[in-house]
Amino acid sequence: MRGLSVHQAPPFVIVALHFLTACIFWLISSFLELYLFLKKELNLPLLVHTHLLGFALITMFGALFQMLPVVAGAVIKEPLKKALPSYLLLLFSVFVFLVGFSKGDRNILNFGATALLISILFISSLMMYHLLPKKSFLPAVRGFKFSLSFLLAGALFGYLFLLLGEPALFKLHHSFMLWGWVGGLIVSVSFQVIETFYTTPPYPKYLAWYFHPLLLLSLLVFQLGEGSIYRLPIFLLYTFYALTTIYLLLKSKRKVLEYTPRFWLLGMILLLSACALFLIGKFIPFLLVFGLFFSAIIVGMMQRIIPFLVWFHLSGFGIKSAPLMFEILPPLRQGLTFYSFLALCLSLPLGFLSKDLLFIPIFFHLLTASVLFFNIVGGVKIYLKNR
Amino acid sequence: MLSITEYLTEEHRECDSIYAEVERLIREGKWEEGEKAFEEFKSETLKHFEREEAVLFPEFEGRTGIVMGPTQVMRMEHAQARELIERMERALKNRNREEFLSVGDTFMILIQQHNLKEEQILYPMCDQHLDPSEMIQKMESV
Repeated sequence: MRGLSVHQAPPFVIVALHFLTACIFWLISSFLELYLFLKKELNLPLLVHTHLLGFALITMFGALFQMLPVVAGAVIKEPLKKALPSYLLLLFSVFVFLVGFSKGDRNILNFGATALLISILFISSLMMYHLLPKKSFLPAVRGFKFSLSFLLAGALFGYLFLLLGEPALFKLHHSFMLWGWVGGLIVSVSFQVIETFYTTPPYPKYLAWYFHPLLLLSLLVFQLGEGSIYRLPIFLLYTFYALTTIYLLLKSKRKVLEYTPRFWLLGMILLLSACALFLIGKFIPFLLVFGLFFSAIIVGMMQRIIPFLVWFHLSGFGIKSAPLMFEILPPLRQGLTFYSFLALCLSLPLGFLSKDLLFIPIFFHLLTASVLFFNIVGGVKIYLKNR
Repeated sequence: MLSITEYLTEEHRECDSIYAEVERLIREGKWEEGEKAFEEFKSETLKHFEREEAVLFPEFEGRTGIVMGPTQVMRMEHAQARELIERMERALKNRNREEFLSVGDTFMILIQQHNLKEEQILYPMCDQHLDPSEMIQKMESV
């Protein structure tokens, strides 16, 4: 019954630590791109996993530690004692796993993958244990349950693929991780955020309540064969979702100064492009564009969550002069990440014209990641100074 | 018949909608219209808080015996929200657009995460333990 703690939210340090680490990984991934570009090499598994594990997974775990008690009433007791060891294990395992990819060393890779699987199993099970008994009064909560299940399945498939090398396991792995976990979680969050934060009409009920079960079905259909027809259900589901979200955002009654709605809008356009590339079977371009899609949403949301939590916790400590969100992160600085990220998206196709031109999107990735890191560190510093 | 969740969620959306209009007017520099809309927003929001604090929370606490739980957290957040509304009002009187939009932005995020907790956790609990039609009738009299 005690759905909410008196302090209302888990300690700020949990979210801050995850987000800062994710920003560092994003920065590392941009330097890695530059390094590989200069060496004229392409280590796709290393880049994809730096991005997906270091940036997306760590951000999403941090965000879930914050959202579960708030959105679902799933309170993890003594969160610091559970979140810190799991964070350290995750950090260690991601690092070893990436070193394994970087060195192409099978033993390191296997060791890293085992540690990674254990940490994902631990964190996801911890969250599921608290989440599953909660009734889903909101579609977002139901979406969290599905997304965490997809993560568990996707991680397990990835591990088995590493051990057995069976192509079907690779397909299961990437589809459950990308469409199921990353996409599924972003969709869940949007069901709550878009309507309420931007005062838009609600998502159609059938979409909000049936998206995730339909996603599971679509993922299963995708495993049945290789042709476009098997990709069609995922394509249709996400395309319909993205178009609906764009429509809702355009109907927003709020005309806000901050840039998060623009990040959502850009994210949805990227998602539509990713869906098209997926349908026609262009796997590598699809991976790149899908990466941009979830990065857009993460960069946008992170820059809302940190300023809010800084204000919320300081204000909760009774500090009357607690700085407001715009004072913690002025829209202008958030705008800088938006425009440099937009430049990254627009310049990416140049890489398909000439590999030498890839330097341009890499530069904008580096710039966006640097400004994001600076913005998030700035928020954390304000918290520490005023606490 | 409406449930408590449906009734109060609808009020949340109405307040959001009025705030969006205030925000638009202030951004466009229509101060007088903005002030009028703000009065409506303030009155509706505070009435909603009052309905909860004077009727719903005491009834819930009386029925379940949970006094230091969700209702206490909600009262604390109402206090934070009231403070921000006062700051918005001051900014409006001083015709300080930047300050108003800055406070309003923080208010909106606070109130949305607050509403989330109520809609997912507290209201369903109230529906479970209290008689919705009786509660709605009492809240409407506030």
